Amino acid sequence: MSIDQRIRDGLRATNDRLPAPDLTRPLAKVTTAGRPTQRRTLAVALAAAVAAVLVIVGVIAVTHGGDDAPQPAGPSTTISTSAPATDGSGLTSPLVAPESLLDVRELGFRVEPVTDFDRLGWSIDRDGQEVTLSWEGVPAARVRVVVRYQGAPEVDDEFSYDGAAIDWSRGEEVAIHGATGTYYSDPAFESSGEFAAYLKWQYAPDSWAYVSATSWRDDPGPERLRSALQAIAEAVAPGGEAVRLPVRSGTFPPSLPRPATLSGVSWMREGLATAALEFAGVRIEISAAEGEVWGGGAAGGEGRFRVTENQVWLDVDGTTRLISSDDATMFAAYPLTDLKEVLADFTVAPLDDPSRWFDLETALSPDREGLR
Amino acid sequence: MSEPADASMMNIVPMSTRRSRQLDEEFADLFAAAYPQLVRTVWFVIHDRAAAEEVAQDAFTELFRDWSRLRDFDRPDLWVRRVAIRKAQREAARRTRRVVLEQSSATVPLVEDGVTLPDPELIAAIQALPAKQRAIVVLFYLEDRPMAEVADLVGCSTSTGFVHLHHARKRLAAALGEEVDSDVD
Repeated sequence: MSIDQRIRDGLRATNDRLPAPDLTRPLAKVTTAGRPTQRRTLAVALAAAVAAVLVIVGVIAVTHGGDDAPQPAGPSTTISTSAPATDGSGLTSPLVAPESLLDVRELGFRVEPVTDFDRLGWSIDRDGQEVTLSWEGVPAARVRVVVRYQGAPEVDDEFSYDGAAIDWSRGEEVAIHGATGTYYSDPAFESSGEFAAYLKWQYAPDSWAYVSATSWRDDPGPERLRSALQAIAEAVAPGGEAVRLPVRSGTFPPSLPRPATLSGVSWMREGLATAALEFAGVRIEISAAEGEVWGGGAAGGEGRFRVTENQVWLDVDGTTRLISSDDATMFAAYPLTDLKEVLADFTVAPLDDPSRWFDLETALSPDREGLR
Repeated sequence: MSEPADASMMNIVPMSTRRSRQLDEEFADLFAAAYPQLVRTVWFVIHDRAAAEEVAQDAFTELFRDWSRLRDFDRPDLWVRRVAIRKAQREAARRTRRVVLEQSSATVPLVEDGVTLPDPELIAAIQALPAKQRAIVVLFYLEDRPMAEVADLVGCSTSTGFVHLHHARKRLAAALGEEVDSDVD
């Protein structure tokens, strides 16, 4: 019996033995709890009034300041610093888009420590940079901090949690280090029933930054969510961490997209440690479950391939490697032997020793002299 | 001249009340159809029957709050399932006990929540997975949903959903002493 068959059979047999729950009392409870009442309506109005007062207090409390000198987010030999902003004015210089993502050596911003929030990872694309935070004590809550490059369009519908346009016109004005921004909470978050909230502000001319998160009505609740997003936005400061990955490609056959077409890259530690690279519709992910041994071995080790319609998998050297494409037709255009070769030839560095990780150019430019 | 009693009764029931009753009946139909399996699915993620019922009821409460609007969705049952799965992941994360697979296999309960388990090693191994992987395994194998839908329900990309499933299969195979050398069936 295959593992898939055993899982399927075991789940179905167990499912059949689980007793059917009572319907009458739960239905009465659900319809009673979910029915709007005059008291609840009053409470909502009261909460809105309190929120309005908090906004006014927040606006009064902020301070002005800033340095408008452009801050390059492209080539740099400087390794990121975690030192706080010297003037406490937050991020006020625009991040400038690099010519190639391979040029990025460090993030253009960081989030200074905020109680209960820890960094999970980062990502970069052609429009900007993002840091993801976890929220201690609020399981599964994730906070996205996005800083767009100067001149990049504002975030589109993809940024919203339900894929619909964010109606900023219904938001409330806020100030982040003196810069005008908008806070918008969407209590009718259609795709999951969660309570979605977004904050955006213009951190420099023609340059936008965003913080977003979701919440349940009671945990952490809209007011706590709002104050958290405001605190995180105020903690965004110039100068971020080094952009380095614990993976390096060994080969990119000519049949595949060139490394220079890199359109997105991310590094995340959230149950899985995952490095993801996107090129012209092709996505490469190298991951390992936290606690598993990652790396330390040379490229080309013995592994096991698994091929599906639009995926090639390889388990080797403590990692799982995947090439995939949403477009099965396009994916079929690449020779399978080349896809396998790319996966097999990645080198992985130890997770616990970032000094042995690779900057993006080194990680993805195997054809350059001296890099192979 | 007075109207017949029946017509009089019809006239004194406001249109809004009749509309409200119709909405309630539609909701009750959906509840009867979807609630029992939703409780079972959530049970596989949380492994606590009372908590599973609580999570499923919370999700239906969210649905009922906005039922007059959400009933027009193509699949309100998927909407409530998405809410329940995400609440279940949060609840499971709260309860997470760092159980090493080998340890859980050595102390596998044969009966859980009053149910005699047909494959207790499998259920114990699933319980040792991270919450998101548990949800993905149950939605993919038990409910037979395509990965795009599974990923949407748990809140990740399709690609990431496949990666989680892959790691979950490996861990389950290792815990159960099974081979994992074929494509996902």
